[in-house]
Amino acid sequence: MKSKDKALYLAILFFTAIVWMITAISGGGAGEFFLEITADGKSIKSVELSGIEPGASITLHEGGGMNELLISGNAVRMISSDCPGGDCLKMAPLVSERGAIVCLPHRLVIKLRRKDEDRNSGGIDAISY
Amino acid sequence: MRHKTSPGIQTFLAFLLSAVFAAGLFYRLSAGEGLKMNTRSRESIAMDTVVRVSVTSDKTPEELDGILDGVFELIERLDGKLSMHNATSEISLVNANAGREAVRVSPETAEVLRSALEITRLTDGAFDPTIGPVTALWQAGDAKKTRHELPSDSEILEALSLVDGKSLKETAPNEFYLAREGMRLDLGGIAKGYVSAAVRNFLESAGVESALIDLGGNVLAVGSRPNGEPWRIGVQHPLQSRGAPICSMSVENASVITAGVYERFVEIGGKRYTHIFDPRTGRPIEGNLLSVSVVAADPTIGDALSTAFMVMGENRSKLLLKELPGVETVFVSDKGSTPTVTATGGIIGLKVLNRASVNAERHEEQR
Amino acid sequence: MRSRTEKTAILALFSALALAAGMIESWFPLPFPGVRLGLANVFPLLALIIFGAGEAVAVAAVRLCMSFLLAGNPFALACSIGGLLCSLPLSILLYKKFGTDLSVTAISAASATAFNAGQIAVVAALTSEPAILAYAPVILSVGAVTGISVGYLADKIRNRLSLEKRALPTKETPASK
Repeated sequence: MKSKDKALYLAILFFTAIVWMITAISGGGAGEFFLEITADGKSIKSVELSGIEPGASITLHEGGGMNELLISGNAVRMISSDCPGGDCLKMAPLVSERGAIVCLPHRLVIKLRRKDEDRNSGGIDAISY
Repeated sequence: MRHKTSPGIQTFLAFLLSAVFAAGLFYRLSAGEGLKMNTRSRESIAMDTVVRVSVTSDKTPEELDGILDGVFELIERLDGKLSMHNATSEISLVNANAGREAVRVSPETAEVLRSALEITRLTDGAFDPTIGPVTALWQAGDAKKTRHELPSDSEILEALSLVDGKSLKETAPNEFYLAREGMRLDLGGIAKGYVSAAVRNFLESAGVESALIDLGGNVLAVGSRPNGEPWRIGVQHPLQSRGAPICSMSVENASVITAGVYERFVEIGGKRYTHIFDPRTGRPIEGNLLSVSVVAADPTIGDALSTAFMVMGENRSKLLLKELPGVETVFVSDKGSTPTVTATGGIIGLKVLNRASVNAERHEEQR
Repeated sequence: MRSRTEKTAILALFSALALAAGMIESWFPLPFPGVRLGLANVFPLLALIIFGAGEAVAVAAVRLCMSFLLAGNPFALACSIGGLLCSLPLSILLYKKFGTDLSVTAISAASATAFNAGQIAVVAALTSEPAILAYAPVILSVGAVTGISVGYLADKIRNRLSLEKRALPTKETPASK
């Protein structure tokens, strides 16, 4: 430790605290999740989680098999699958953007995404009405 | 050793410069052509609606402005032929001579009428360009002449007797004849589609490869976004304000044309009736379909089909869709608390937005 | 006084190690592709305290270009440029002005914070999604810890190099003489 170390560490702490306060006030972290389902690399559908009633399930017929997803609150789980091995049933429930539920035999990837540029129509070029 | 005289640093700088150069070259190659692209957009009122056209190409902004001038001239010219509100239009002339004689029309108008008759045959009369008397009876979408009571059954029957697509005939090339007096063409369900197709052809012959044509919500995506991604086109949420999408999809070189019950309506005795009429009952359509969006390469077909599908309902539409390769559809129906989106299998990159539910089954129409 | 060859070799080694460190740290999942903890920054820092500001910029720039050429991720390149634009001037300034009163560890912590702030700003601008700023406090905190570790490491390496090579300049002679 040298003479001015303490001052510099305090400055870093102060800066981090200010950034933390700004983000806490602006509430930038809040946002709704989208359930995104891709099969064979192609997006099949992307659904706003809040639009799905809690306890509802989504049945998918992809890759020559069947998978069933259960939506409960903010968590998504694979509850049934006829894939060999059933590895996808053992995967942790999805609650955030991190991670994914994968069913390799059926080439399915289920993810949650926070960002959806189409939602505020910023990513939409035109609306048909 | 000062570093400005250090050959070591000079070697590094030389290396750095070549690395930057290589990186730049790599980026340029990976990003495709490095030509400067310009985008020009224009929004104006035409065909009784808001028309928005946006074009992107490597031409100069001035050249693009010239192209946009041409686009809006073209729209005005075609509207002058196809509008039924304009007494001097070719359509009004055909109407005025109903039951009397055939009227020679321009090749463009003839093309629209032929397409209209084709869709009438295809949809077994669910779309009918001779719906005019029924529309006039209900005065949908015309604020000036509001009705205070519902049309009587006999009035509806009388109007309905004048609705018959089969009585519109092309007696000689480009000469059209309405068989009975009082018959009235109403191309509201097909004209905008045809005009947007004409605009696309005009833009393509002018060398524009990326453009978005929005004729009052009838969207035609020409090519892809300037950056090569597909266009993202939304479908209006039937219960929310204009501009709020219920879902969106990726579209390239195709039109997205929506017919919806919310779009225009007539209010009679405090109750709202949609402007979409069933050519077989002469009454506003019923059922739980809120809107139908048709994605098709040909906007003329897409426009007419969207109206026809509203009349036919979801199930009959899906039967017909099986015979129409390349035509995809997004149905929005009222099935409880939130509108439900059902898309056919060929819709790419569907995203359901703004508190709607989605029909989870993927449809089997896929190739 | 060290030979030119020796200096060139050491700087080349630093650049190569920085590149390797950058690739290793990209294995760790972070909320956004391209955002880095800044482990690789140990080498520009070393170049700064052993040779000088120009050498630090050179090592950072070479690593940047090389990793872009190898991974071809313009997003990561933009992130790193944004981070370095903040961190390099700050660490050079701190080292030149207050080098005698500040430990390498503290300078590194400050530099890491600046690096991450710059990165986040670039990501927020590129994605035009201010929601990602929610991750800023986490990234900044983790980054400060990394920065301290990186600084400690750099200090040790510097001492080791100084012990073995008596000719190497000490911290009091930042620019080679």
